[in-house]
Amino acid sequence: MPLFPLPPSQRAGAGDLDAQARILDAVPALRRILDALPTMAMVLNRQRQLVLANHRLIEFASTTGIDDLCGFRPGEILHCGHALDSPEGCGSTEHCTVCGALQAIVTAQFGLAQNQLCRLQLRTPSGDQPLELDISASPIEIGGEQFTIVCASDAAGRLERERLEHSAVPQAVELALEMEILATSIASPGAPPEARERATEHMAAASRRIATLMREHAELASAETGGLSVARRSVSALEILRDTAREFEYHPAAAGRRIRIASDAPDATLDTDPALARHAMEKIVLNALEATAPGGVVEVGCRLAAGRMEFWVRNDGQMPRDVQLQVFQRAFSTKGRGRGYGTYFAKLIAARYLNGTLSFRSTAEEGTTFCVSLPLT
Amino acid sequence: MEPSTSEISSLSPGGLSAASRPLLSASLKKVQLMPNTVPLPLNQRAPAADVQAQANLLAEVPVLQRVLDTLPAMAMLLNPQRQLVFASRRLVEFVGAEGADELLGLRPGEILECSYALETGCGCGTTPHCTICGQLRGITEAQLGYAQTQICSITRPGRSGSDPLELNVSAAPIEISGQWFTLVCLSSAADRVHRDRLQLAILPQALALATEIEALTRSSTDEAATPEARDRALGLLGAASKRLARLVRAQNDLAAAEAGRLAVARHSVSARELLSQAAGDFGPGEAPGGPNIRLDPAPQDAAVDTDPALARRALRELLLNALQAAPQGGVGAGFRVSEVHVDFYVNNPGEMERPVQLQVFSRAFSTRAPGRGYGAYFAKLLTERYLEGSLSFRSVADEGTTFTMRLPRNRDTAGSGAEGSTA
Repeated sequence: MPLFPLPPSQRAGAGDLDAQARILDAVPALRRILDALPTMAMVLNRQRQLVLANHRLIEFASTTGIDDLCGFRPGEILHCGHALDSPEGCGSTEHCTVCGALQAIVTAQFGLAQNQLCRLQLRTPSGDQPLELDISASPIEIGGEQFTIVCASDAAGRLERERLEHSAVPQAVELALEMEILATSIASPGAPPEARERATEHMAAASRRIATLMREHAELASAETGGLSVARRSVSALEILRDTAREFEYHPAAAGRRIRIASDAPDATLDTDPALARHAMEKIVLNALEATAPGGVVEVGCRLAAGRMEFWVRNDGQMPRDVQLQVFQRAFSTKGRGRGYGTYFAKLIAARYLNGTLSFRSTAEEGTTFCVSLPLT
Repeated sequence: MEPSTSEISSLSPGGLSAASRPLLSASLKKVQLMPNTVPLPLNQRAPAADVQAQANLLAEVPVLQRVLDTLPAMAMLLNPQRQLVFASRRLVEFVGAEGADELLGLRPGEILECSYALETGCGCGTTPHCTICGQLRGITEAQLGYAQTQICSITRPGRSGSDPLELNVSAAPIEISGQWFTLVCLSSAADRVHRDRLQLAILPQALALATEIEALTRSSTDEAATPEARDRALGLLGAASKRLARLVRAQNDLAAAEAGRLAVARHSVSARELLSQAAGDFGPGEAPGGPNIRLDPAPQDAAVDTDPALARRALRELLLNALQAAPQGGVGAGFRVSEVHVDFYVNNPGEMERPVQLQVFSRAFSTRAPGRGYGAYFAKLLTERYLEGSLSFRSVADEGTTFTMRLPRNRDTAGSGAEGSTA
């Protein structure tokens, strides 16, 4: 997907804003209608600055009235972390080139109504939190002046349904079918003992995977609200790597691909929650396997660096820039509807529960390497 | 021409402001999945001339059309008699009207082709079903000054069988040119309904089964266990795997059934066999109190002309519903043979409350929890859309609740009746 060109960042002066506000004030029905809507709504001028907001937006922005919002851009009003980090505000950062809201607004300014999903990194007192909004933007002419009406509603229900219907359920159907067949071969009296043993092992892996799949849905919501419990103990780094690789032994994503544990991985111990660390690693390995062609290799390893243990996962190929900008966003995926929670979840676990970080480096020469850095103690 | 400022007065204090919340909480907190009954409002309608005058008044506020046409939701403005006086472009397109004029004076249920509104002469807001309608509740509350969001489940007469539509209905009062109207916005609630079904009903069951299978796999290879214990674990493993497969596959089946994608392979099948197979589908622990179903003896067997897999599935849903409604037991089932039909019935003790009766075939309606409640809906869909049958119920205090699934008898054997002993 090409990056969206950033629009001019120039803003209208206070005098122009006042004049625009007067134009809208002369149409009192407008505010009444916007206030009666079930969504947040705003009217923007050609410089994408707010001139009118409905009461739902004013409440969301935690301000007392429209005067506090007038002249600001949508990202600044909605507390977008990227907009707040940049001195030039909303629409000026590299992240804005992949922003759904900006695309919808700019397209509406060309006369075409647009609906887009906006994945917002909401800045809150307790850190950035993801929020997905369905944005609709339409051009409107009032008093001879061109404006854009923007409505924003929570997209969580839609995304959650997609996640379940397009990802969890199809995987569960496949696994359940596999388990039904395995159960028959395990119970078959004529089967040789080795075949039964293999089938039982496969069954154990499949039942673990389906249980993890089902559990994950509750877990993600719980992880986001700080509800996961952490059980730290001393654990071998190599053991985490081996357990992670073993989890993919019967996994369809690993079919025809290899997971190689780097030979120089030191067998050092660290103090962490091994289940959570493995969980984060599994997400990244799965991502790497899915980016790897059949016959390819995903390499995993670890190294000691400045009092921390750095687990890494490498695969061939470079991520396109627009993917790099969104790879940690919730519900962002290049693989279709209902996907896009793996790297987001891994980062959440590493940062929030294991006092660690998750970063990546992606170049044409070196391929893509994700790195989970965890404290040793 | 826009009206002057003085013509537009404020919303009632405590109305919108009291009901409004920031986006995230608003969408959930104000929604009621199972509203209590709402008293039916007055049925009187405004004369056509008044409706036209109100529509003309709104047409003089051009910003209304421009703003409401930009919304991703469908929008309408209603007069105090709940008649449409303005429709957005999306609404006009959705109902396939030529223009908004065609809809003037109609009520929401009539515009959306709600089967209850259409089946009586008096229209939307007049039937017993309207007492539990989310839309009507939202609109009447908005008329009292309170903005509301409700979920409304509408059954529409579709091409075959019924075509349910779940809508988020938000209603808010608005005063224009000295007259009060209700602004109603409608958007699909399907995402929320489907998410609830998967998240709250399916996932926990699937997780419980997967955990059981995990444990059984371990026991089946546990060298410390006796060979009998290992064999028992193996037997249970097979049954649990089948149940899990059936559970997750049912998700695809429901979606396929609604989309008309289920293939029907009809042939002649014994009514007795069909019923006993459906009753035998329940494994241990699958229904509260164990799968104790009393099969009533039938004087004669009969051949049913049906798709046995789909018919069994529909019967199974009815049996499961009955078992869940009567955890203390007492569920009975049987069939009666008539000239051209076989009526399968499933009975459980206890009468359904009136609001429950009114919604029992609505998709996603459940007395148990959000996300549940597809059983009766699914059984009706299968029976009526695929099996050329019908599904009805009767619920009274002394007889309990009986669902009756009527399927066509095989034409070659109809009227003769194969002799048989008991079901």
